[in-house]
Amino acid sequence: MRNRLKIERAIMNITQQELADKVGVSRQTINSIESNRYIPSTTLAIKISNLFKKTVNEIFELEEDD
Amino acid sequence: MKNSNFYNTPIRLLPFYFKKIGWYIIILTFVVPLGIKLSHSIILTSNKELFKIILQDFFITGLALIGFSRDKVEDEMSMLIRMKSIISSFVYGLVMTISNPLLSYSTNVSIHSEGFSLFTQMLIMYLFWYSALKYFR
Repeated sequence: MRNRLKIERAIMNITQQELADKVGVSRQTINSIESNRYIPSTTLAIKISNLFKKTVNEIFELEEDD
Repeated sequence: MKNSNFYNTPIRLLPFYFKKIGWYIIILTFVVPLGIKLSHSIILTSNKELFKIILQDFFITGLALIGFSRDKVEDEMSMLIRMKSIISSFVYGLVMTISNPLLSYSTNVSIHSEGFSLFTQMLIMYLFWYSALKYFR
């Protein structure tokens, strides 16, 4: 699963820690999501997309092998 | 999103400060016998076995408190890591349970695989995997 988390975070000019605090996870979890090592739960994906005022599909995108 | 469903309720863990208590208990299980040995106390000679059992119980309690208390930031990824670590330690316990009697039989060396020893090893494996997976995530 691809995601635009890093780009959206850069647009909003917030750090991984700030994003993590806002959605209630650790900074390492945000880092793992950004590096595609971890796929977040639906709840976390919605929280993140709500924060960026986008839909989940605009932030997270399925890849061919998903 | 309120979920009262059993499957959606996160696993309940002990509060974070229990982790510190666990560490204090483990340190005490090393410091107390050392102190007693150095002070040449009579406890070691009279109730050695009972003392050993109590220390083992405290040690395993300390490990369990560290293993089953929350982290400072407990999130869904740490829960996943926790679950994977528990599975790894369970598999380790299973392998040890199966292989120890065979090893003892083939090598004629008695390998202690009593409940306490095995469970301690499993808890250590769990904590090791949890720390390693958390560090390298």
